[in-house]
Amino acid sequence: MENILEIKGLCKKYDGFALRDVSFSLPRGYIMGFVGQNGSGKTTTIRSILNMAQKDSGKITVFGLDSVTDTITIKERLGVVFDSLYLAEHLNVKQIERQLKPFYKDWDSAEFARRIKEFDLPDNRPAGDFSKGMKMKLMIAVALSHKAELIILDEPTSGLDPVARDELLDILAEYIEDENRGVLFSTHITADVERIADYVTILHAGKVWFTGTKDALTERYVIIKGDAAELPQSAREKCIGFHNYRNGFEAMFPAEDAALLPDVIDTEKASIDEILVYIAKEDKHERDTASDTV
Amino acid sequence: MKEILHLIRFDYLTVCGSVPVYLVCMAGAAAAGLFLTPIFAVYAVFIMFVLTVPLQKKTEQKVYGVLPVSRKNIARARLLYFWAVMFVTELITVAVGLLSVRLKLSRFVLPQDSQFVQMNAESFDMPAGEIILIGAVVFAAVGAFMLYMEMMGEIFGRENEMKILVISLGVLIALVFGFFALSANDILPMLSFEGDSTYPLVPSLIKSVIWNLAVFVLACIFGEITARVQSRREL
Amino acid sequence: MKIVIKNKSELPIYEQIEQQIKAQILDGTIAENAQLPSIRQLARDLKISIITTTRAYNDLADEGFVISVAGKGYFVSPRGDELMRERMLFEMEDGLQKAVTNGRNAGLTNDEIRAALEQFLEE
Repeated sequence: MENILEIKGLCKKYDGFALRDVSFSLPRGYIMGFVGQNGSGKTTTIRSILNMAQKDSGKITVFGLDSVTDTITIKERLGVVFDSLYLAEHLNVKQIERQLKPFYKDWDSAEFARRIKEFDLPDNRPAGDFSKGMKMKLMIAVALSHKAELIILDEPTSGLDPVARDELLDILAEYIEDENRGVLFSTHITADVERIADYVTILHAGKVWFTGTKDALTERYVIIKGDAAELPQSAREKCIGFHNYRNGFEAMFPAEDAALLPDVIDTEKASIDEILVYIAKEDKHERDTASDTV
Repeated sequence: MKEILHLIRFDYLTVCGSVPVYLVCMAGAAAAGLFLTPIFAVYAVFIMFVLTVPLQKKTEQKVYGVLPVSRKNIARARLLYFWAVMFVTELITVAVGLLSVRLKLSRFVLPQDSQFVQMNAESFDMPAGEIILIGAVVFAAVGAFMLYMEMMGEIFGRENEMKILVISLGVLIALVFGFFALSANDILPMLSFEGDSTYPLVPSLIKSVIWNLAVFVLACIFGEITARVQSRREL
Repeated sequence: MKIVIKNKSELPIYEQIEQQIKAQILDGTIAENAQLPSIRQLARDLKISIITTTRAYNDLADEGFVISVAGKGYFVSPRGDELMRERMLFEMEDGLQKAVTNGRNAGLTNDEIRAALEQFLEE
């Protein structure tokens, strides 16, 4: 399967933050949820893909082209949705189209007009007056109008109401019906990803914690609960984000080691949200105990 | 080249909402130039800033990460756009000045014996060549300053604009004083604007074209410097 | 074809799809040889992952409920199809087994269970 996006060994250092050896790939035809806490490095990764940030090392290819040397060719076919409007706020939809059109060979004005209508965007009001959801739809309309084959969304749903988030999922579901396209969707609201994403990459503290299909992720971990006294030491060592409360413990546990667990311990499916929470707990625990085991 | 033109147009469309403000101010300057004294038309030099200020918002920089354009051309286009604004404003100003001298409309507005008219009587006798040349020189000076500030702002960041302005003005004043000090002591020859007070049309026109070309070249050079520095910078 | 996805269900989404398509094939809501929506169409309509619908269709094909025709899509297996018959027999036996277990748990005798079955057969 051809990868529409491929990142290999991406490193990027800032003061007090670093992306370390980030690698993942998205096959053409699928949606990848790119999740992680705020500050885990999602935006830096996306900025590196867009060549807005300059990577220290590693290789990024989009459509099989190099993200640095072929950035212009890539951007012809790439749609981007940021968490805030990247266009001049005082311009209206028509003026924005006039501004962007000359840069894209494949700009389709009819498609743009159709999308603006479909998304109920007024074409005579400044885009800055739009609601957050409308701004998001405007950026999507732009991406769809230049026939983008890959859409990258950076936290598009933060601060969106549930209706607008649902509309976004509708739009993405429609978009990906064409198997030649791809979507990379960064968010910390995992409910958005839970249903629609085919692949998931979890970034934690600048490193890839997991990358693969969503099913592989949710089948790999379970949440266990019970009395800590009944948890054998062999199982205790495998726990991720172990947390003891007054009435028992909770932890995430690798599903493949479930045999280590006695029957009295409850197990249930882990949602992506829960997985993120337990990763963070494990991390905090590690820092607290200053141990260097992962 | 096509990309630079598209980017200049892009910048223009970003500020096009300010065009009515610009036109109203220009009309004011033109009226002052036509009805009072042609010298007033030169005030338009300050009006050109109306068409450059809206471009300096940091929040919209992300668009350049999205558009399929080269980073270098963005800086080149920006400075050329500034030059274009300057040039258009200069053309309007000079046209107003020439019309003002020819029509002498102030006759109908101001009493001929007023002090103001007495003081400015001379300006209505300015030959066309002089008006063209004054326009070129004034706009070249202000234009060069505007381009310089834009370059420094792009390179050192808008937030440092005031600092850059203060330091730049300091350096400029020091240079001018130094120059005059040296001239006064006959170390350098004093610059003379009096040389040829007849301002024959053709040589004045050629000089004016040279001034404008010089600023254009300056815009290209500043654009290139900005492009070089910025292409190594993150958006 | 009608599929309802319950987010709060304990069953994974692909199993929910499988069960509902099977049920509709078995009760005839979806006619034999009928074409199913494509994997991508179904994913779009349900707003779920393509990998999920692919998995559901693959499982259905493995179990013989549907046939994948390269380049054309997925079709409901003809009812005469051996696999389908076997599958139905299996479902029947499975159901009977459950019925018997439940009956025994309720303390019914074999005769009482038989009588209950007779009643269903006459309906």
